Amino acid sequence: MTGPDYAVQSDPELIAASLDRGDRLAWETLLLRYQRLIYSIPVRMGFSPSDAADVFQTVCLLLMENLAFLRRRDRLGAWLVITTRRECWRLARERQTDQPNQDADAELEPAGNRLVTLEEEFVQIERHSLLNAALDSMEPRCRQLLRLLFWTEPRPSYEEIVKLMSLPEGSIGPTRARCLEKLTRILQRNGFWR
Amino acid sequence: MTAHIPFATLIDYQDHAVSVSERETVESHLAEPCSLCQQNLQRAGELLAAFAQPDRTVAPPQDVVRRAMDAFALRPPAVSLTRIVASLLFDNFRQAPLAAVRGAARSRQLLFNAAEIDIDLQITAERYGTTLIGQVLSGQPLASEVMPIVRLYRNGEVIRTVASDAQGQFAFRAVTPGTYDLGVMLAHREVVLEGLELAHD
Repeated sequence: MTGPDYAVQSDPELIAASLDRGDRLAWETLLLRYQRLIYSIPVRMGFSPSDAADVFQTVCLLLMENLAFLRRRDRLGAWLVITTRRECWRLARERQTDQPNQDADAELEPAGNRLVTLEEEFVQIERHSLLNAALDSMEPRCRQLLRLLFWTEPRPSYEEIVKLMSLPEGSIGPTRARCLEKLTRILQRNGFWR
Repeated sequence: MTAHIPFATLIDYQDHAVSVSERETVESHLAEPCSLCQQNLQRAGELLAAFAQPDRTVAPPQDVVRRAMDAFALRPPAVSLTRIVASLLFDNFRQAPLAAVRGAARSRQLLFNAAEIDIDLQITAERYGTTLIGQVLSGQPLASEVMPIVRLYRNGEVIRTVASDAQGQFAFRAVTPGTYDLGVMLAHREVVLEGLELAHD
């Protein structure tokens, strides 16, 4: 008998398992799911790796303290973005510096013919965090194949992928389809398509 | 109704990587209509859009993640922790000769004791708020997987939480004026330093 597949459990299910059963693996899955989101925000706001690690620890502890009191367990990502940004500003105040750009919301970056606000970037960071977590939870072969097929620039040809992964000729199609179905199941549950 | 379209085919359809006959199959199925495949088509588009953007996320160092995972051992229990109020052993502000010395340190040094631990606390009023720096001291290894979590309470509510480091040291910075309790969480109990008065410089 195998245990639950944590990667395909929703945030509310993982939170409930952490709280009700003291399920440590459920807690670890939540952290792995959102680790990049929490850490990337202070990094993006200009903090050093050491300060980003401090923010990460504080936010994880706040999450643990507040798990039982989250009003919207299905909106954990949004809660983490708000809480992490708040911790960043608190740390900035402690440092008494203007190291992070407090006008960051106004710092815009070209994306095509329009500009991207920090808010939009955080939404993108949240989606990429969930996507990374989903890929990381898959078997290595699927993870490598999907990254090569979709998230590598320049995109390698099928022939190159066959060589890189030592796959039999003609096996990419069925493997790709199976891996995409698995990825879809995980993303449906982890809130990527909320 | 015809068979649902596999997600991989919908990805190819959104990526303009299907043959003419495959495209016709997809479009005729969607037109039946099939709400499930229409939803999956939208999702395939969103997934491709996410893949099309460079990944700007940064993974934290593994030891940082591991430490956060280990903190689960000290999560708030379902039942209340046994609360032990610590006794004040030393307060440099109560040492008259020191307090009278011109230019005496602005830091208040306190030492508390409860059960098997001592808690050394230094309170420093600064321009942007008060800094509390402390250390949990124990003659014996603490009975927990990780060093204690320390909570700062105001009016009974937890307002800040930090994990002490490997030496048991912890810090709260830029704390606003007020009266606080400080809780040190040990296995099955919490040692509380009550009524800490903090004021601005």
